[in-house]
This record gives sequence, C-alpha cells and structure tokens, in this order.
Amino acid sequence: MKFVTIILNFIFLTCLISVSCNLQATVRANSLKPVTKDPVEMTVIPAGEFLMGSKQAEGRPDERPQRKVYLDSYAIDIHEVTNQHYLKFIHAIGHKEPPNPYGDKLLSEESGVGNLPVVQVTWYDAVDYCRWAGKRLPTEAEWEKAARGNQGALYPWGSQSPQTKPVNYARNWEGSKTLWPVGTHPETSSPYGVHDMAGNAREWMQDWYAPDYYANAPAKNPSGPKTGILKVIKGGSWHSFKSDLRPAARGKGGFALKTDGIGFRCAK
Amino acid sequence: MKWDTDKPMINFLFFLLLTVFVETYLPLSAKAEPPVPENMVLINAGGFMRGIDKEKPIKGKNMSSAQKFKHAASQKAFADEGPAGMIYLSAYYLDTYEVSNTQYTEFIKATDYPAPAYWDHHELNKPDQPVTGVNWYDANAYCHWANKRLPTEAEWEKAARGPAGSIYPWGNVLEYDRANFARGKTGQKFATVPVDSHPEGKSYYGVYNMAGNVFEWVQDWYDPNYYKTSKEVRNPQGPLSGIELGATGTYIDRLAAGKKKVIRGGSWFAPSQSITTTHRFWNDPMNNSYGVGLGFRCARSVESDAQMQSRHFYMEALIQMGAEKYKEALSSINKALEDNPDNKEYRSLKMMIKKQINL
Repeated sequence: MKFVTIILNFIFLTCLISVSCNLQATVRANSLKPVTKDPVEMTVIPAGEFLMGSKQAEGRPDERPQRKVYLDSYAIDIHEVTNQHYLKFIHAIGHKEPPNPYGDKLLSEESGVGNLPVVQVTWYDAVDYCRWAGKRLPTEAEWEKAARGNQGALYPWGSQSPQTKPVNYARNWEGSKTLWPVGTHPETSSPYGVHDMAGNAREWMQDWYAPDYYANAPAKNPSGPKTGILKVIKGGSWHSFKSDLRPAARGKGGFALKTDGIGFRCAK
Repeated sequence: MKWDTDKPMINFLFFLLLTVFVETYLPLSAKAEPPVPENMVLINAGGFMRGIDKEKPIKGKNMSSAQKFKHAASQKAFADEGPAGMIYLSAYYLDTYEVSNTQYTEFIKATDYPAPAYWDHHELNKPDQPVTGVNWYDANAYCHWANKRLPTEAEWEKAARGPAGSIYPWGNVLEYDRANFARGKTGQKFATVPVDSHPEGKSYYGVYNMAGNVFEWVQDWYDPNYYKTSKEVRNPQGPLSGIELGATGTYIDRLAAGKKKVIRGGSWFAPSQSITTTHRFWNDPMNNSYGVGLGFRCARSVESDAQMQSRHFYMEALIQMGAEKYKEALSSINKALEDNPDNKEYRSLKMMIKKQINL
C-alpha cells in the first residue's frame, strides 16, 4: 500500500512540475510571436549565464576551456522536428520529400514513422524549415545551454552515464525501430525540459565550426565564427558512442551532408 | 653433462628465453627482411613513372558551366597530371585495404576521438565498409595512432600503377566489374563495398580498391603545377604548401577558398575518368563531408639498413644485460647509438647499464 502511495505521489508531483513548466513556457513562447505553421511546443530559456564547454580533464580539446557565457532569453523547440511536421512543410511548399531510409516507398507513405525525428536533411533543409515556421536554427551556445542547464552538467539529465538511462545511442540500424519517437523518455530531458538532447538524432546548429572557437568566442551571445566550411552538429545519434552525446561535444559536417542520424530543432 | 637437479626450472626457463632470443635475434643478425606488417604490402625501393602526358584534357571542353559545376571536370582539373617523369621511392609498406569502420571504431574507442560525418548513415556504416566522412586531420590522426602515416601522393600512385605504369590498377583497359565506381546515377541503391571486395581489381602490388569505392586522402598539399615545377625526384613529399583554390566543383568548397589536400582513386559515386591511377583531385583538409565516399589508407616507412643495424646492437645489449655482461652491453649500446644518437629507448638502456657498472 505504502509503495503504491509513493508511486502515486511521484506521478502526481512529476505531472505538477511538468504542467507548471509547460504552462509557463507556453505563456512566454506565445508572448513572443504567434507560431501558426509549426505546432511544435517551445520552451523559453531565461536570460543569464551558463557554463559552456569542458573543464581541463573533461572532453576534447575543441570544447575547452569551460567558460561562463551570457545569453539573452530565447525559445527552443522541446522536441526534434518530426517526419510528420517536416512533411507538412514539404507539401506546403511543394518540395521533393527527403529520402526514405526505412524502405522504397515515399517517406509520407511509410507507416509508423510520423513521430520519429526527421533525418536525411541537409543544413539548408533545416534552415528552410525553421524559416518557414517563423523560427531559425539555434546557435551552438543556445543549444548547449538548453541541453545542460546553467551549471555545466555533463549530460542533459546530470552526470550519470547514459548506460544507466534509457538513451538511444551506440545502436545499429534496425529500420524504423532505430530512431525513437520524440520525447519517448521524459526522464532524460534537460533541466529546462528539452527532450532528446543526447542520442536519437544529432542536430544541425546555426554556427560554423572552428576548432578554436570555444577558446576565442565572445562571452555574450556567441553566434559562431564568421565563416567556415563545416557547420556544427550536436547531440549524438543512435549510432554514436557516449562521448559524442555530451552537450559540450562538437560534431561537424558540411552543409550538403545528410545521414540517417542528423535532424534538427528550431529556436526563436 | 649432468643436469643441476636443484634448478631444473631455471634451466628450463633459460632455454625458453634462449629460444625466444634466437627467434628474434638471429633473423636480424642474418639481415633478413623484417616481416611485412599484417594487412600491408611491401613496395620495394625503386623508380616508377609518375603522371601522364595528355594532349588534351579528358573532358570539360564541351561542358557548359553548369555541367562543370556538377562534375568538377574542368580543363584545369585534368591538366595537373603531367608531365610524366621517373620518380625514385625508398621502400615502404602500404595498407592492403582502405581503413574500415571496424578499424576506425577501435581508434575512436581507444582515443575518445569524435565519430566521422557519415557514422550514422546505415548504407555506409557496416563494419567491413571503408570509413567515410573523415577529414584530412582525422585520417592523419588515425594513421599516427596506428603507428603509421598517410602515404605521400607518389607512394599512393606507385602502389596503384605498378612497374608497368598502368592506367588502372589491373591494367590499361577500363572494366566495370573490377571496381566499384560510377554507381551514383543508376537509380538503384549502391554504396561503398567491403574493403576486401574486388580482388580481381587489385594492383600489381596486391593493393585493393585503388580505383573506386572511396576517394583516399594522401599526405600532400595540392598544387596543379607541382609535377611541372617540382625538381624533387627522390621521395617527393608534395609542395610545401597548397595553392589557394576556390572550388572542387562541389558547392561546399565553392564557398571556401583555401589550401587543399590531394585525394586519390575515385569513389563508388565518381565517374570513370576519376578512377585512373594518375588522376589527381583535391579537397579542403577540414571537409569531412565530401560526396559520400572519402576515406583513406595508411603507409609506413621501411627501416633503413642503418636503423636495422642499430636495433640489432640494441637487442644484443639487452641480451648481454640479461647475462650480466655489463661491459659488453655498454659497448653494444654505444654501437647502437652511433647511428641513432637520439633514440630514447637506446639512451635509457645505456643509463641502466652504466648504473649497473657503477654499483
């Protein structure tokens, strides 16, 4: 009996917290600008400092040093953009569908994949979608803050290894079972309630990649180097090893790159 | 002879050690060739014909600018393969196969290196397929981790052409079954093939997939005039720096002018013109997303006679140390240091021997 009560209490509290957060977020997001074309829920990350990058013994050379970075307030999608949402955009503007990694049919004819994050999209595709939705891609700093909170957590959920959590990483291809529907495991979301920031699909960033950017970036609203040939990709995917899942880890790719593991979400 | 019955075990150990020493030491003293490292081929010292003299560029003359943009086959792109000339290379080893996803996984796990760009592309990420989505720095880092290095452009070309200077690794006639190339536009699903595919297309030296499958990074900077201007005919290392180029024809590089590294061998996607053994192409060393097929293989220098001689004296010193013959050991290690005065291993052994003598 006691056990059931504890469970119920836990569920009640979780609901309470998430509802209040979501309410808050919705209210603030709505107060920005009405988003009509893209129904993805956003959350507002309040203005302030956060710890960006990795400490000396942690991570890789291009993530160091760890610094305090200030960001103005912004909103970010709490989920990766799904096939369903992306296809709505494709059909609205009459573009060709992205390749269907799950079979020979058109992606829109494939069943059971609507809530999976869209993959096989280039950086340009991601930019176009966000623009259409009245949004933009997040900067690397915005994404990192949304993913790890302001205290420099190693992973979105804290410091525990992803092995102890239901995280979609280090797996091999299993067709439409490879990627998970967005938001499948809320317990792995970030301190700001943003889902799937580690594993599942990697995500395109607005910023150009430069290996020395973390050492040289401005301490306020950094938005990436002026030019480059690679864009930053963050978050790791279903095939990544655990080190690539860390919000501080910096993936990279040319903007014609598309794989079965790169998607995106938008910011505003 | 009577065995010392008190120490049969020690005797046994002594013989075991002796056997091990003889096994490792005798072949060296007999100056036999060291064994070729696993999955590498030995390419002996000697000359080869580098480059090709062409009267006209293969293609590009009749192309519209839109086509050139798409195919990256400008006249300039193909004028870089001449003039042909004899080049001498010291002996070296080259990987028999392109570096596979399995091998690259070991590297990532051992060094916490980030995954390459096409890591989560399921048509390209199977264990036996060549790793793709690596930039020049990644390839270079892998080879050093593996105690190897990237081949020079000349080393790559010699290994592909063989002594007859053939146009394709297998000969002078283009045969579609011998390599994985020009598969990009058929509408069917094609991709890279396992690194040990197409044994019928291997080069004279036994190196696989030097035509097609994936383009391969080599060590050298790219300069289209290098063959014309370079005076280097022994072990050329490429130009000291690349020339600034704006395009490889892919729109990624159109936007990023900069110095480029040479890539070789064509890919599963690339047209037949790009799989000849002399074909030179280039890419930004940072670009890890070229097409869907850019990987690499590694090379290793063969130790010179002097280095082998040094090693021989070093091992002799080790054995004499073991036998507590310190004076002899000191004389041996001094001989080893004659040709290799900076070798840390040798120097620390000398310190140890001196300590023993002074005890």
